Formats: sequence, structure tokens, C-alpha cells
Amino acid sequence: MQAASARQAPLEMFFPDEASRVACAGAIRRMMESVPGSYAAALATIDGKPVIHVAPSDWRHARVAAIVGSLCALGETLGKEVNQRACRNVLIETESGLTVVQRLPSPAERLILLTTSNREANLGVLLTYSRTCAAAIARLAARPG
Amino acid sequence: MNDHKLIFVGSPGVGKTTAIRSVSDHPPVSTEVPSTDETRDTTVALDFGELTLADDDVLRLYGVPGQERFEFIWPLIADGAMGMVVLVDNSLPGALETLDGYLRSFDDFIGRVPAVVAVTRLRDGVGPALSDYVAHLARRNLDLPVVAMDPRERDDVLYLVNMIVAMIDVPVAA
Repeated sequence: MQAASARQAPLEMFFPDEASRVACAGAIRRMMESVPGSYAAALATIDGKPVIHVAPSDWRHARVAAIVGSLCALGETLGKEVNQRACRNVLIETESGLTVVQRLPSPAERLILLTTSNREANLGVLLTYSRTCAAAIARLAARPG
Repeated sequence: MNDHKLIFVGSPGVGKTTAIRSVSDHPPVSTEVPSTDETRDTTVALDFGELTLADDDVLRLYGVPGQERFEFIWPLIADGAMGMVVLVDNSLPGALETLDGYLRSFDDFIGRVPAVVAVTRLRDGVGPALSDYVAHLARRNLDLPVVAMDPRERDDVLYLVNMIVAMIDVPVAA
């Protein structure tokens, strides 16, 4: 596992100082440690750029970030199309695990958090810790000018 | 009633979303979000609109996100399309090279279905002329129509759509 900044520009845009970057990575790690079966998490911009990830070394972070951006937009668009309001998250459930994609609350609404787990995780637990983590990161993030 | 699928590809900001909005019968589905490195919005998943043709045939219009990082979604959206519009922003440096990039990415696709190159922001003395595009394509053994288009103008987009529709021999749009 590794924590890494994928591209400097988005990372520095939202977390301009080292302390906030460390705190962001810490929030992600704490969330993962709290969710049994959690094996990766990533932060991306809403336009599909990688910001930071805690993930296996074979994680294709740039590609994942782009897919996360598309998926979040599609989830929110579908929600509106079926007359629902305020998409909270996009949930993917497979035979081998769970993936939650959610936009961060204000003032970090230009960021998306992806959390993944194997089947060991309980959906409610994963959602709860993901939201808590998203709120914590939102408090750390700077609003880009 | 039949439906047909047409995709719009090209650089971010070239006018794909606008072109679909100009001719869609209904407000199109849009996945635009604020860009982190530019002041404008950018499409991150797809655009989708519908245009009714003669005989009640329907043309489904899909726009793909322009940035290369969204390349994963291009074949997903292109699957089943009967035609493609490649938009090129003539006001940007390297317009011909940009066109080459999209032609390479959709190489297999262009060989199978009709495609048209639509040049936007065409101004005298700025960037290549339409004839330069035609010559450029000919050097690559590509015989694609090249047209100037303002994606904000419904008539411009309809002209383009009808050209592709005619190439596949289905009823044209009114």
C-alpha cells in the first residue's frame, strides 16, 4: 500500500500546505482502518483528476480518478432525471466488494471520495465512515480561487 | 420507427455540448462540471440529446468528454454508433495535430462508419483553411468531408447532421 499524490496541481490546489495534505491522508487512513475489508480509497476532482490515494501499488490512479469523475456526474444526473434531489453517493455492489463514490460537502464540493472494500465490509459501516471521512477532508480542503 | 446513434468527439471546449444542445428536441442530458484548470465547465461523462428525423426516425446524439483521461469511456459511448462528427477548434494552435489525435483514437471506428470533420471558430487568416484540412486528410488517405460549423447555430449543426444521415441513407432532419 502507498499514499501518494498523483499530480501536484490538484493536490496543491485543494491542500496548499503540507500539514493539510498529511491530515487528509491521515483521515483516509483512519477511515480505512475503521472499516473491516477496506482496501483502497482515493480523492479525485469532479473533472476527473487524481488528488491523493491510499491504494495497492497496481492502482491506476489517473484512470480511476477519471472514471470516478464520470461516475459521480452520471449518478447525480440520473438522480435528477428520476426526480430525486441531492445525490448522496453512488454505490456499486459486486460479488467481491463494495465501492462508494460521493462528492464532498461544502466547501470541498469540487472533490470526490472513492472508498472500496471487499465483502467483509458492512454497507452501513462503509457508508457511515465514508461520509465522516468526506466531512473531515472537506474541513481540511481549501476552496480553489 | 428506427433510431440511429451519432457521436460528437473533439477537444474540450470545441462545442460538442453546444452542438447537441442546438439541435436536440429536448433539453439534453449534460454532465458538465466546473473545470479545475479552466474557467469554463467541461463534460466528464457524456452529453445526450435526441433529434427526430423524417419518418419519425430518431437520431440519438452523444457527446464524449474531450480530455484524454476520459479515453476509457470513448469506446463505451461509440459502441453502436452509425456515424461520427470530429470537431476541431481552428483558433487553437496545432489544430491539425489535434485532429490527428482523435482520428488515431477512433481509427477503427472511422473505417467502419461515416465521419465528418467539423471545423469551429474558422476565421480568415487564423489557423488552417478548410482546404488545408482536406489536404491533410488526403495525405493520410482519408476521404472525409470537412465543413465549417458554428455549434451555436442550429442550421449549421442540422446541415452537418443531414450530411452524415445522407451518407448512411436514412431520412433527413427537418
